[in-house]
This record gives sequence, C-alpha cells and structure tokens, in this order.
Amino acid sequence: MTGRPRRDPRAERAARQVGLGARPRFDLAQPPGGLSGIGPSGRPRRDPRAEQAALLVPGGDRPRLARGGTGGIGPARASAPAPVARVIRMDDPACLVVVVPDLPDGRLDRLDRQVLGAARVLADAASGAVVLLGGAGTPDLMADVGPAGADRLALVDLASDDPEYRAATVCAALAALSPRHVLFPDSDDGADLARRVAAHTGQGLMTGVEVLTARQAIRPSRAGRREQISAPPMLLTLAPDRVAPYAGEAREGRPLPVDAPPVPPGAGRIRASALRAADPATMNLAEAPFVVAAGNGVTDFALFRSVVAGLHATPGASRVVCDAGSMPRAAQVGASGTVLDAVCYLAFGIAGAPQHLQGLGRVEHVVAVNTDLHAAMVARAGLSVIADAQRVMPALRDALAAEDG
Amino acid sequence: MMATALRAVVLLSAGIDPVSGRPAPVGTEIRAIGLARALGARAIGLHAGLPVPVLREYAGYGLADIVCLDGAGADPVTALARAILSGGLFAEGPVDLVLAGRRASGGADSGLLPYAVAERLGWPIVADVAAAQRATPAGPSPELEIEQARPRGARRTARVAGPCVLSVHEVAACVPDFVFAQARAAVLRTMPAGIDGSPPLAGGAEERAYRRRPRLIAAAAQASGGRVLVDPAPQDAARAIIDHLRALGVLPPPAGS
Ligand SMILES: Cc1cc2nc3c(=O)[nH]c(=O)nc-3n(C[C@H](O)[C@H](O)[C@H](O)COP(=O)(O)OP(=O)(O)OC[C@H]3O[C@@H](n4cnc5c(N)ncnc54)[C@H](O)[C@@H]3O)c2cc1C
Ligand SMILES: Nc1ncnc2c1ncn2[C@@H]1O[C@H](COP(=O)(O)O)[C@@H](O)[C@H]1O
Repeated sequence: MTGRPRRDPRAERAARQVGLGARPRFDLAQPPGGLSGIGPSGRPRRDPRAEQAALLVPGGDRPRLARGGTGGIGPARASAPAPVARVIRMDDPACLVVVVPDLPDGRLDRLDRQVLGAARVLADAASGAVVLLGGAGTPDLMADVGPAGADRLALVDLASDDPEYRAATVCAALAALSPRHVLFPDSDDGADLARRVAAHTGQGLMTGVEVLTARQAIRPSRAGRREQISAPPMLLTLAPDRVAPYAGEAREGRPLPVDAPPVPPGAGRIRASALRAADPATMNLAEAPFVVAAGNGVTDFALFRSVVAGLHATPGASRVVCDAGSMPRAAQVGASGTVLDAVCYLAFGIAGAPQHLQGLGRVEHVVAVNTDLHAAMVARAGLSVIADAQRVMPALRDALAAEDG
Repeated sequence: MMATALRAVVLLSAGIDPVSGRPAPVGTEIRAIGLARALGARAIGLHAGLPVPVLREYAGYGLADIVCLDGAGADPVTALARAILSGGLFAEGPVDLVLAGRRASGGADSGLLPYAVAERLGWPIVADVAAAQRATPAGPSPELEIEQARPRGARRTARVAGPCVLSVHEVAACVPDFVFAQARAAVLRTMPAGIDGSPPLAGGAEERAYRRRPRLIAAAAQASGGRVLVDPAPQDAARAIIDHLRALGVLPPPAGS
C-alpha cells in the first residue's frame, strides 16, 4: 500500500453524469464528488481554461486578456445589463462655448467633431454648455450633435453664398449669446469665417491652435519655428487632428433659440458660385484626391491611361517609369517628385522604395497591385492584390465600362 | 478703348525662411506680385516697418517701387489703411486693389492682417485666390472674376466689384521670374506712418521654441486592416478594388444607380 487515496474512476464518472437520457452525458468541468475545487490529491484544483475565459476582454477580433487585474472582467461585463442610453443634460450653464462647424454636405465632418471635442474641454472646466451654431436646413444634423458633444443647437442659416453675409449672421448670433469662447475649424472656409468675425468684432483671434486645455492654448508662429502660449482666447480656430473628438455619453443637443435681430441682406459685394471639383485628368498632382500610379511592373501604358480615365483619377508614376519616358516627369511621385495630399493611392507594379513612399506622406488609403507579396508597397496598403497588373488592368477597365454602359 | 491699368498695392511682410530662419520673401506674397502682373496692374509694394534688405528681393520679382511705413510697429493695420487711402501712393489716382499673402511667415502668421485692413478700408476681401481676371475690361470700378482655391484641387468662382482686397493662395500658378537687375534698381521709399506710440507688448502671449507634437492618427487609416488577395481571378480582383474604392468614397457610384 502506498498510503495514497485510492480513486475509483467509475464512481467519479458516475458522479459527473448529468441528465438521464438515452445516452449518458457527463459534465467533466464539475469537480468530482461534489467536493468543490479540491482534487483527488487534496490540493485545490485549477481550471486554467475557465480562468483564462474570465480574463477575456470582450470585443475586438483578437483575444485580449486583462492579466494582473481582478479576474472575472469578461463574464461580469457580458452578464451586466446593457447600459441604458443616458443623455447628459445641462440645465443651468455658467457660460456658453460656441462652435461654428463647416458642415460640408450638411453633416459634421472629422474636424467639426474635433472642434466639438475641444469645446467640451473648455466648457467642462467652467461648467458651461457647448452650443453648435449653424446648421439650419440640415435635418440630418439633429440626431448627430448630441453624441458629438453639443448641449445646445442654435439653428442659424449659414449656407449663404456671400461670405460677408455669413460673417454678419455669426456676429449677430454671438452678440445675442455672448459666449465665453467661440471655436472654428481651421479649414479654408472655417478660417475665412473666423477671420471675418475677428476683423469685424475687433476681437483677437488665435488661428491654428494645436494644443488646447482649459488653461492654455498653443499655436505655432514665426514660420513654425516658435510657438505662442496663452490662456484660451475668445476666438480661436483649431488645427486638424490635434484634439480628440468627444467620446463620452451623449449630450442633449437641445434647440436653443437665438433672438438676434435679422441681418439685412448684405450689399452682395462678393458673389461666389458653388464649389467646382477639379478635372482629375489635368489637375495638379499635389492637390489630387485620388491618384493611380504606374511603376516598373506596368508595360502597357495605353491600357494604364484608360484605367486611370475610367477611375476618374489623376495619373502618377514611379521614377523608373518617368526616367524611361513612359510617363511625363510631372507625374512622378516621391522624394524627388511630388508629395501627395490624396485620400487614396492605387499603385500598379510599384515596389515602394523609401524615396517613393516619401511621396505618400499624407495619403490615408493605399491599394497595391503587385506580383510580389513582400513588396514594401503591399505592407503599406489597406488592400493588396497579388497578381499581374497586365491582367488586372483590363478586367478593371472592362468592369468600369460595363457599369457605365 | 484701352483698359485703364489697375493701381494695385502689394502688402509685403518681409518674412523668414522656415528652415534656416533667415530673412526671405514669403511665397504667397511673391505670387501676389505675380497676380498683380497677370492683371496688368501697376503695382507698388507696401511694408509696415523699416526698409529691411529682404524687401529688395521682392522687388526682383517685379516691383519697381516699395514704400516702407516708418513707425508703424504700434499699429500696422491703421498705418497701412491710412497709406492706402491717402492717395499719396499713385500720382494717377486712388488704389483699386490690395493684394496680400494669405498668411505671413515670420510674424504672428495668423493671416488676420488682410482682413483687418479690409475692414478698416471698408472694402470686401476675397481669400485664397488662385487666379483672377478682369470681368469688365474697362470702367471706373473694375469687376474681378476670381478663382478661389479650395482643398483637393476644388475651385470656386467669385465676382467682386470695386476696390477690394485679395489674399493669394500658395497654389496660384503666377510665380514671376526673379530678375536681379530689377532687385538692384528698385527704389525703397520711406514714409512716416503717422502713428505715435511704441510697439505693443506681446499681449499676454508668451513665446518659446516650437515643439513638434504627434497628431491624432486618423481613425480611418487604423481601421483598414490590410486585406491581401493572393492570385485572384482578374475579374474578382477588379471587383474587390472597385468595391474598396467605393467604400472609401473616392470612386463615384455607377452611373446607373
Ligand atoms: C536620390 C534618389 C531619389 C529618388 N526619388 C524617387 C522619387 O521621387 N520617386 C520614385 O518613384 N523613385 C525615386 N527614386 C528611385 C527609387 O529608389 C526606386 O528605384 C523606384 O521608386 C522604383 O520604382 P518601381 O517601384 O516602379 O520599380 P521596381 O523597383 O523595379 O519595382 C517594380 C515592382 O513591380 C512589381 N512587378 C513586376 N512585374 C509586375 C507585374 N507584371 N504586375 C504587377 N507587379 C509587377 C515588382 O514585384 C516590383 O515590386 C529615387 C532614388 C534615389 C537614389
Ligand atoms: N508689416 C506688414 N506690412 C505689410 N504687409 C503685411 C505686414 N504683415 C503682414 N502683411 C501682409 O498680410 C499677410 C498676412 O499676414 P499675417 O496676418 O501676419 O499672417 C502677409 O502675407 C502680408 O501680405
């Protein structure tokens, strides 16, 4: 006899049997003999699988474990009742922080949301309310402004073609609201409006603010070699991608009537027409929103040009192609060519040499067609097609032609 | 009848080079000189400040005459507006057009000065001008047709009448050639600004060396997970590319839908 307790595997198995169906079923996770957590050796038993499952953080497509924290995050989260959509109300604000968004196509764009996030920073520090000014005649906006961080929505019509009239409308609304801060996006149109308002009211304006906290605002000056620091001013424009958009619980976005005297229709000294997109085939490469480029992997340039035309894109090329004379030098993308400001870049047969990738500095989305799975361009791309460009291009041209025809 | 030449004033800020920090002409102001020439205007340079040597470089781009307003440091806006309205700049008549850069490079760089000058003059201002031409060839108050530059190569046409202020964008194609002899021959005149008072102390704004800070990473750029299709059929590849481009919004939807 060894003195160890004797196990009876048959009895242990029987103790784990669940249900009494036609086929016997056993719950092997259940500790044997009802002795919870104590193994046959007398030591507590661990179930590493269950422990791991308890550490699992919900969401995301790769499993993530919250080690080091208190266990049980996963199941606790999963079993908690879904949070009730709560709306934060601000009934008695100490002050107002006004945001004048651009609203291209009648919606808040990315920079508009960042400006709302910045306004929240200033408003929260002073228990103030964020007021979004503008947006009359854009029905989509109502549901959008609360989650983006606005307590109030002051519907004012800023859709006029006359920039002077828009500025006068904003000035009248500001006079009625007397806000503590007014924030504009530092986009072309937003900055234009902000400067008109600043010049008209005689208020100082801090343009292109890069850092904004409740106590200070920082902006570059002297050709970007120095920076100015001051308390957040009354009027400022916020540079893009500097302050995070508001991500907290939804705000009310309640309509706020503005009792400003009606602005008389201006003298109409400036008559502006609607925005006109450029012709992609001939536009300046540095400004183009969508560039399709050919590299050394492309041999049929007539085909390439027809694909570019079908995609309504601006043609580009790598240096090898320009050196060979297959594309004009003006089309060269890269360190010694043009640095792009495009939204999307589609590269046919381009390896992605460092000198070429420098030209993609600000491009957000890259699509690569290359025979080499390990090309640097494929590593940079959001969508890569590992195939012969000479076979993909005709298919692309035909698919586009079929849609149009 | 021949069109009377416009009388244009180009506002020169005498900036610094962003890389070296040495005095250098500002690109948008060089283009403002080019725009004045493209409009066939008679142009004078106007600088609120002392006659610094870098102003001669602007002259090389096509200004024979540059006026410096001495003692304007306290209030450049008032000094510039007064000089423009004084009638002392052109012997032939009043100023028709004021051209400026959209943003200086070396000062506060807020781009506010042209707006403040326009407000003081009571003239309309059109910003970010890429190109301009006269809509009416002759007449006492010239009307201009302006191409305004907008992001991603978009353009907007605007018409503005009468004396006006234009601020010129970097994408304006009208860069004049530099002529060294012109730079040497130009006359730098100094006029008293007629402003008293000392330069204002930098009001509340403290200054220090610029610190580069990371930008927020675009959420869209993070989201694209790097999908790879290995050796698909050409038709599938074409469809995948078209759908991806549509999802990004760079390719317009098909004509049929
Ligand atoms: C000082 C300096 C400055 C430079 N400046 C620039 C610059 O501004 N711009 C620039 O572009 N380059 C520049 N270069 C050159 C750069 O280093 C590379 O040589 C160049 O970018 C390579 O071009 P490429 O990718 O088209 O050609 P390659 O390097 O030959 O790559 C061809 C790619 O196409 C793929 N391919 C081949 N056949 C096919 C096919 N049938 N279908 C699909 N894919 C195929 C290959 O797998 C490969 O990835 C510079 C170099 C120097 C030294
Ligand atoms: N001291 C100055 N004298 C004349 N023009 C100026 C002066 N400062 C700025 N400007 C003009 O105003 C534009 C914008 O300047 P800023 O508002 O300082 O960014 C410049 O591009 C110049 O055309």
